[in-house]
Amino acid sequence: MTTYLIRRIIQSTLVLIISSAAIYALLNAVPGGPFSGLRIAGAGDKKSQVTQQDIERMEQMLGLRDENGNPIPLHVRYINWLSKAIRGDWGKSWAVAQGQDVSFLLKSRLTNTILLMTSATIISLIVAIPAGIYSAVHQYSKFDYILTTFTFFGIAMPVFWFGLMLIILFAFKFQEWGLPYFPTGDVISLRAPRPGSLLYLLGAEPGSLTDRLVHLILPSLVLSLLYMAGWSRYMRSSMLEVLRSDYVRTARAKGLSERVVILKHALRNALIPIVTIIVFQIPGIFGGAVLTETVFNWKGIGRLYVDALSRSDWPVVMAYLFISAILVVFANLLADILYTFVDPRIRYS
Amino acid sequence: MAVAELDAEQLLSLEEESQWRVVLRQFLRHRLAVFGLIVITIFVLSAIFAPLITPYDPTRIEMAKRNLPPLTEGHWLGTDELGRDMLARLLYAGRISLFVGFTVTILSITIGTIVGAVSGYYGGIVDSILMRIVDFMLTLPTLPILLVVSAIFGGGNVWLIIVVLVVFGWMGTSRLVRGMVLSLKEQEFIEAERAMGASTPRIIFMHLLPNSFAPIIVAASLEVGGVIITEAALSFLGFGIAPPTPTWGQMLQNVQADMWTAPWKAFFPGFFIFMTSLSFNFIGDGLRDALDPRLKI
Repeated sequence: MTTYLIRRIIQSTLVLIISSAAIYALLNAVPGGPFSGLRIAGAGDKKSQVTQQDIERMEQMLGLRDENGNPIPLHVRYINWLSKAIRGDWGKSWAVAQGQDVSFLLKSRLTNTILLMTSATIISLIVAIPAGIYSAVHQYSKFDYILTTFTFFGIAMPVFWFGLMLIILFAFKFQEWGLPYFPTGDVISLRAPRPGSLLYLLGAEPGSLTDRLVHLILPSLVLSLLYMAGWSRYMRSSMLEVLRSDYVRTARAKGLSERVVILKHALRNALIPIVTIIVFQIPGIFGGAVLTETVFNWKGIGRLYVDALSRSDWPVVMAYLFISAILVVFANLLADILYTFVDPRIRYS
Repeated sequence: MAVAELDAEQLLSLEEESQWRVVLRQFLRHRLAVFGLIVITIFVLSAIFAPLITPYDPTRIEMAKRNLPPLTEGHWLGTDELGRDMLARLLYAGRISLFVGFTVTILSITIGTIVGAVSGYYGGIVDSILMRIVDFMLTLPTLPILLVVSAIFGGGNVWLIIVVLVVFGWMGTSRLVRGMVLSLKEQEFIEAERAMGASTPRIIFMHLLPNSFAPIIVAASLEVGGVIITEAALSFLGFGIAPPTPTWGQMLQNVQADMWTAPWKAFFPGFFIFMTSLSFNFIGDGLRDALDPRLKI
C-alpha cells in the first residue's frame, strides 16, 4: 500500500509538471494577452502614444523581461512561475482585476463557490441515494420508470438552458402573473427589493442571510437536478449489482426477512460508491460550476475562470487550471486510499 | 397439405430470420427509441432541406422587424434582435450542430476503437503507455480544458472545434473496446484463427472488432447527444463556433440581455439541443436493449 501510494504520488507529480508546462507554453505562444492591441496600435502609427519602450516596460512589470529589458526565455519563466506557484504566489491578474494578486482574487470568490457547490451536493446526495436504492429494490416498478425517465432528462438537459428557463419562469413569468418572483441572478441584492418580489415579501435586507439564501435557490436547484440524475442512476446500478450477488442470495436462503437482507446485507455494500461520488466532487466544490455560475451571474470561481479566459487573463487561467489539476490528482489518491478502508476486498500492490 | 406446407414455410422463415431482423424488431418495440429516431430524422431532414421549409435567409438582417414574437408577420418562431427569422436560423444552425455532433462522434469512436483494439490486443508496454494516457486525459476537468484550448486556438472555426472535441473525446471508447478485446482474444475462435496463421490485422478487423460492434454502436449513439451539448456549451460561453455561422448553443449566447422581452429566443435553441440529445439517448437505450441488454454503458 505504501509503495503503491509513493509510486502514485511520483507519477501524479510528473503528470502535473508536464501538463502545466504544456498549458503554460501554449498560453504564452498565443497571439493575444493584455497588450497585443497596444502593440498593433504602436506598430501602425508613428505618432502613437504607446512606444516600444512602454510595451517593454509593461512586459518587464509582468515578468516577461528581466531588469535590463531582455526577454526571458520561456522555460526560465515557467520555472520561475512554478517555484512561486507552489508557494501560493500566482502572480498578478492582467485584466479581470488588474494588478490584484491572483491568490487574493481566488480567495474572494471561493466562499460563493463553496456555498453553491456544497448546498447543491448535499441536497443531491440526500435525494439521490434513497431514490437510487429504492428504485433498485423495486426494479421495474412505477417509481423506477419515473426515475429512469428523470435520469434521461437530466443527462440530455443542457444546464445553461435549464438555468435560463428557470429564470424566465420564476423571475419573469412569476412577476407577470403577480406571484412572488425570484431574483434573476447575483449572489446578493444591490438595492432594496422591489414590491411584489419574493425578497420584499420576506423582508430581506440586501446582504442579509435571507437575501443570500433566496439568491442561492435557483442556481443550486439547477445543479442539484443535474447531479441527482447522474447519482441516483449510479446508486441504482450499484444496488442492483449487490442484489444480484451470491452473498445476498445466501442471506435470503438462510431465511432472513427481506428487510434484513436489504438493510443489513445489501445496503452496506451498495453504499460504497458514495465515497467515489463525494471524493470526486472535491475538485468541483473548489472549482465551481462554470456554466451555472455564468447563467446566474454567480460571482464564484467558475465565473471568474470564464471571465479570465475571455479577457486573456492568463495568470488567473493558469492558477485555476493548476489548482484544479492538483485537486483532481488529490481526489484520485484519496479515493484509492478510502476504498481500502471501506472495502477490504480491495488491495493495492 | 396446404396447411402443412404453410407451417413448414413459416417455420423455415422464422429460422432464417437474420440477426439484424431480430435486432430491428427489438428496437422497434422500444417506443422511446422509435420516438427518438423519428425526431432525429425530422431534424436531419429539415436541416438538409431548410431552404424548402423556410423562405427566409438566416443571415438577413431586418432592423424594422426586431424581436417579433412567434407567429407574427409570417415568422413562425419570431425574430431575433437583428430581425433575423428564428426558424430559419434554427434550421441552418441545426446543420452545423448536427454536423459537429456526427463528425466528432464518428472520428472519436474511430480513434478510440483503434487505440482500444491495439491496446487490448498487444498488451504489455503498449497497453500500459496508452492506458496511462487515457487515465490522465480522463482525469482532466473537461469543460475548463476545452474552454482554454478553444480560447488558445480560437477563431471560432468549425473544424477547429471538431478537432478539439475529438482530441478530448476518444478515451471512453478506447477503454470500452480494450475491455471487449481483452475478453474476446482469449476465446477459442480467435485462438483457432491464430493457429491457422491469420495475420494480426485480420484477427483485429475481421474478428475482434465485429464482435465488439454492439457496445461501440451503443456508445456512439449515446455520445452524439453529449457532443452536441458540449459544443453548445462552448458556443454559449463564446468559445465555440463564431458568428455569423449560427449554432444552437451560439444562438443562446446573448439572449440574457433581453430575455424579459423576448423569451422565445432563449427557449427554442435550447429546446432543439435538448430534444436532439434526449432522442440520441433514447436511441442508444433502444439499441442497447436490442443488441445486448446485458451491456453496461
